[in-house]
Amino acid sequence: MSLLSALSIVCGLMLQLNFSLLSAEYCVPRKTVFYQSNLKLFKEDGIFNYSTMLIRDDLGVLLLGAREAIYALDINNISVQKAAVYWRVPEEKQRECTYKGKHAEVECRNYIRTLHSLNDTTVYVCGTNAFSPTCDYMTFANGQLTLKGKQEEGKGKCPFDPFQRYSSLMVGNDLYSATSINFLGSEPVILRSSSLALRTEFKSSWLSEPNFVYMDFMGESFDSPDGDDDKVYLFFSENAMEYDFYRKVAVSRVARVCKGDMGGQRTLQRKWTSFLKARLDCSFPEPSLPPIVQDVFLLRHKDWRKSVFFAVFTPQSSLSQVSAVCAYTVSAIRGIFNEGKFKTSVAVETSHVKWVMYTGEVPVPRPGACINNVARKMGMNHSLDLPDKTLQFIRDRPLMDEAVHPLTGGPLLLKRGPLLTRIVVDSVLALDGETYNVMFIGTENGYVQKAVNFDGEMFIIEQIQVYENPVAIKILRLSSSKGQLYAGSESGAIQMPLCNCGRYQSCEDCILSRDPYCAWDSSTQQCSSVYSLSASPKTAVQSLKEGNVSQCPSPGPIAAVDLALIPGNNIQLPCQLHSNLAQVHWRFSDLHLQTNNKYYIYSRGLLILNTSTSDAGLYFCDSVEQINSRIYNRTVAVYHLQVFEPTVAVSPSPGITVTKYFIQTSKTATTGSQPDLESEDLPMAENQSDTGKISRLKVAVALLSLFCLSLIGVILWLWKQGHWKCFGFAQNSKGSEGKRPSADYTHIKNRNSEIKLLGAEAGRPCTANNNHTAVDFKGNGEYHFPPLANIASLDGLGYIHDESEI
Amino acid sequence: MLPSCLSSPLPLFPLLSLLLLVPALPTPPSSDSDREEYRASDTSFTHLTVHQRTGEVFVGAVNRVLKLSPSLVELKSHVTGPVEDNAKCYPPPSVRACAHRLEQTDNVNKLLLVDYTGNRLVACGSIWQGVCQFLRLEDLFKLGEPHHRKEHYLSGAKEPDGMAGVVVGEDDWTAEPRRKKPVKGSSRLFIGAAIDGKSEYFPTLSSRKLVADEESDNMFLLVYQDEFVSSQIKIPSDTLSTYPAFDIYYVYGFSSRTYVYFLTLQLDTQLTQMDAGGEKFFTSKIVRICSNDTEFYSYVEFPLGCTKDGVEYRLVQAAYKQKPGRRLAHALGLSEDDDILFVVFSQGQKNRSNPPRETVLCLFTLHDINLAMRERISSCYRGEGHLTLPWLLNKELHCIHTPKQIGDDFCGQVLNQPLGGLRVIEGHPLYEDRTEGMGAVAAYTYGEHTVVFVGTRSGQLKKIRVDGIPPPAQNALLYETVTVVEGKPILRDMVFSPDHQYIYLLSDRQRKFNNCHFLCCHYPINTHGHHGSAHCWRFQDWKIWK
Repeated sequence: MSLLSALSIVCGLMLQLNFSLLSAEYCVPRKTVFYQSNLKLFKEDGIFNYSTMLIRDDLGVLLLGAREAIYALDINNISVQKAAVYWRVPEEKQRECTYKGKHAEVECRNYIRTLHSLNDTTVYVCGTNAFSPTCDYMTFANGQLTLKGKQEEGKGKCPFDPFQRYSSLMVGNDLYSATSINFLGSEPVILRSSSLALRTEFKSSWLSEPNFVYMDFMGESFDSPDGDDDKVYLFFSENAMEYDFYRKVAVSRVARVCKGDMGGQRTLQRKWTSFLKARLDCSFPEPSLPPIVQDVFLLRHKDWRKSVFFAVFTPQSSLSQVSAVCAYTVSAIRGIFNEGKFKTSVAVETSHVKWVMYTGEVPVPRPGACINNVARKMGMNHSLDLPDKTLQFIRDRPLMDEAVHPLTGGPLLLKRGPLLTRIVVDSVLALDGETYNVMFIGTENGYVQKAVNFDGEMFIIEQIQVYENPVAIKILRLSSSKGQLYAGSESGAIQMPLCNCGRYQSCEDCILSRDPYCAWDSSTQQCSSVYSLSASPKTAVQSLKEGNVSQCPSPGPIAAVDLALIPGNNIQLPCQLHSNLAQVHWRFSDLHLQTNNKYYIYSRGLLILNTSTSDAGLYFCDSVEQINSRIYNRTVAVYHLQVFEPTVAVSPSPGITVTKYFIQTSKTATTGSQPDLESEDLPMAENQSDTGKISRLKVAVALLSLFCLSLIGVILWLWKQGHWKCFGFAQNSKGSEGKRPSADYTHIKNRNSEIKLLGAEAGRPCTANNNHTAVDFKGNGEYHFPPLANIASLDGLGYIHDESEI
Repeated sequence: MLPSCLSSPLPLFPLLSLLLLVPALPTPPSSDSDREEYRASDTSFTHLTVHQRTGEVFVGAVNRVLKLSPSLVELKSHVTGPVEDNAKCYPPPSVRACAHRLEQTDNVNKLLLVDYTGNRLVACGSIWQGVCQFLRLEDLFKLGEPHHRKEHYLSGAKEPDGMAGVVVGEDDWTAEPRRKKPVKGSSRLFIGAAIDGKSEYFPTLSSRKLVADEESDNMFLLVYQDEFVSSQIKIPSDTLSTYPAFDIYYVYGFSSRTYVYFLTLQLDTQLTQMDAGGEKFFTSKIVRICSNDTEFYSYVEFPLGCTKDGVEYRLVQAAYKQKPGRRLAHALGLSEDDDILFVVFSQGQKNRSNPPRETVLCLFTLHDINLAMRERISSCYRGEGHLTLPWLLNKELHCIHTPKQIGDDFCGQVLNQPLGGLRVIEGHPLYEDRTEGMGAVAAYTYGEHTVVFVGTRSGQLKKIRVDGIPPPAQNALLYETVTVVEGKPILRDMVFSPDHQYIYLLSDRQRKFNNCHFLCCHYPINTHGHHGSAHCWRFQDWKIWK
């Protein structure tokens, strides 16, 4: 047991060091908006996987594909269903599917994966159809959705596996799709289904176990001095071939093909002659394996060269919980493909191949280039005319040497906590005349993060809980014209406005939100959307980059709340800050209060323990928020504590009941902790307190130095297995031995859990806090950990929000 | 255009007269008294087939296809080359002008078979990316040489014995009398071919239409093809990038019941280092496909080998499918209608092109082979293990558990295919020859006995009676060894006359082909007239002596 506790100390120390060092770079949502039941929701009982959407502004509907159903929903209110059509799997087909070893009720159903507009009236629909993908034509006319029953072969257009990522795109009447063409999912392809079907070569240097994410079209032939062709860009991740690593490493890619490609004559017959791919760089602050692209959004600019792809990345190691957004301009990607060097494979003596920069002569026309003026001058008017030399070159070397680097050199957003899943971006013309790109990013636990990058400063305006249950957001669609965002998940589809400025009731709130959609309208005394300002913009206040509230009228004084003080009892003074980024400062008769054996400061207020008459007086709760270098300080609540006179009847209020509850529970917490509590509840203070602890832990480590050498190997193993075993150990050891350091550490744990319960979601402002505090019960290995209930009982407040289960 | 030696009439050497033995004659025949020989001095023979009704003999050679009478009198000679070509020209220069320099190129016959339904000879060569000629059986008149579509190019590889073909459709009704007799043109040709690294152009294994009209565009079209599935197997380019030398050499093909089988030699990717420089190891496989499987979902392959006295023999040299005589059938617990397979292996796994002379003749029963395959399929359908076919899949794919029951007639599904065997199917060693190097085999039933003929690289013909599996040694008894031609290897194709009175075999001094060959025929024939010439012999079969 002592070994375990020693391990837990060392491991815990490493974790703390790790997080405290890195914490400052991650963005935390300023505001958390919890689930509101008035959100517009669509779902039908018994129907799941609402994961495909097509916005038809012209028809006023959102087409929503789910499992075995397609709906036409009112685009202004998706809870209004205009029509529905069901496409179920015939029993015989389902049986066939189960004979192939698939689950009847899961895989052997028809998941609608593809919805593309063909023309004004017709939509192309594909479904997995019990592991036998099938496509059909659908019309929406006279309020009716109708499937034409054409039942086209969907192989290559739609995945077999309902849960495999894929992407497709309709350009004119040609369907571009990136998926797996066989039942086993082992043969990936990028396919153009058209009169002249084209596909990728089945070769690992082209595609190696790819995970396709996104595709879009770019009309690059427009205004092109070199007579270039239109392109289709594709984002995916795959096994890297350019890294030497002891195991498979995945890497994110952007690839493109030319619209006018017709394949080669001899070499690359009916295969792309213009398939080029490059690595996507998006560097995370901590050294890690390459991050994996999860979703992409193309923010179009009227000059296509300035169009930008926004991409969400998550780590490939499950140990990390950091997500990022990186953006890439079309011209940057083009630059790599049109002028960059190629990679080539060389055999090395250790009997494997290595990919290095190709330094030899590159044939003309340039391999992978679309048919452009250079080729036309050589008499080549389509790809069939390309010489074998060019084609053989590109067949063997589709990878560019250099990676595509993000717009600003690094991520536009970094966030710790539940992983980001999908992204859409809207550009907003703010009052300062600048256009801001507002990112709406879905998470794996049913939130939407609304974020902006102000000249390098990452800022999450708010996070909005759009699903009551923590479900992953599987699709996001944006209607800029309607100002609406649509999200889909396994359980249903939701609609939310891009902004809800009315949420900010004061001028300060409105300005500090730094929401490009919102401005304070002095004439109406309201926080309003920039699109709907009542008067001229002159009366409107907005300060996005600075968050400067000086233009706001100064707020009036806060009325003090009288509370009765019963000596010997504990008392709670609630104080809710408006911002997750703010710190709370409690003042009592010019004293700055800190958590100690008398006061306990937590996220929602202050606890005064074992009160005495000397505690009577005025208590001020101040919110201190830092925006850039500016500190904004305001008093949020004032309490006047007066000694309770038995003759005075105090009517019990719900607030008091709550107070009692907290007093009790926090007592439990404190008895389990050190009497000389030095930790604070203030998120910003965590780092300091942690470093304090670390130095103490270091002493403990020194005492255990005899163990150290032999332990390090084990620690590394643990590290690999998952951090959270260490927490498990910590709790274990606390229960059995009660060693000071580990008990101390456990206290940190308690506090974190508390935040989880009380606070918003995972992240607190720039802290080391993260959802790793939950024990990962999935990776326990051979060690036996106390069941959840035991751990929960250690916590003051009863339960852990186990986000690792999400 | 042709060298002078080709324009001169082909010399026929009635070197030895045919001696018909009186069956009761108690003395073994002398080796010189009972054979006939056809000799061509200006070409090399590669393949041999005998029309099973007329008994006429067809010989494939370099630049030539010959028709001989049953007694080896030349009836007709059809010239197939040399022609203007360059192996780099794809499509061939006959279709489109090619940037590469054209040269007079030998046309090596790689496949020769009689299409009984179509009443024609199919002769596939090495020029023009491996096009085939259809020749009228009577006079070798060229009925057609389809060469305009990519399906017409079977493989440009030069090696004469890396290709095997099986015609199905025409035999189906004999195996299954209930079926209607097929009309001309409904047959299919299964072709396995070494592709010499060009997987982009040629499948290694395919099932093609054999239509009535030789000039039809449909000739040799894949039996089935859509955007993603077709009746063919291609060597993945990943395999070729990793193992540039990878190829599959088809040694023998046959059909049995509703299946088509091929015996192959291929690079062992487990043992061979990836880089081109290291020593290469080979392995032999038996490949099985349902003959009516158009999507090749029934593809199963197993390693094949034989072990004698603890020594492994893994390089298949030749094989012959046959039905056992009564004694052998009894010993094997089979019916006389069951198929068995005689296979000659060379020792070890190295030197495919010059295999060791340590060889062994082994016996396999199709029953055992099918049983192993069926068990493998069943186990995979129980979700056990992986598909285990590295050269074709290049990754480990799990077997998927399904409730499907696997019967004998199971022809695959979209999942759990293609499937590779985990263990070597081992044959029963019958006869070992560690010095002469066996390289050809044929067998037939005589009375109650099964008689196997084996040709060696030293030019000998051995006759072995197989009435059971040794030990005891008498079960496989060497009766006789005849030296056919001193020091010259007997080629793989050995065929019986329809009445099993004669066996035809080929010999050629030059086993290896190179570009120099067509120059070689300028060399003077020496005093014995043997060197630089190719031989086709007919041997009378000797009576089995009790």
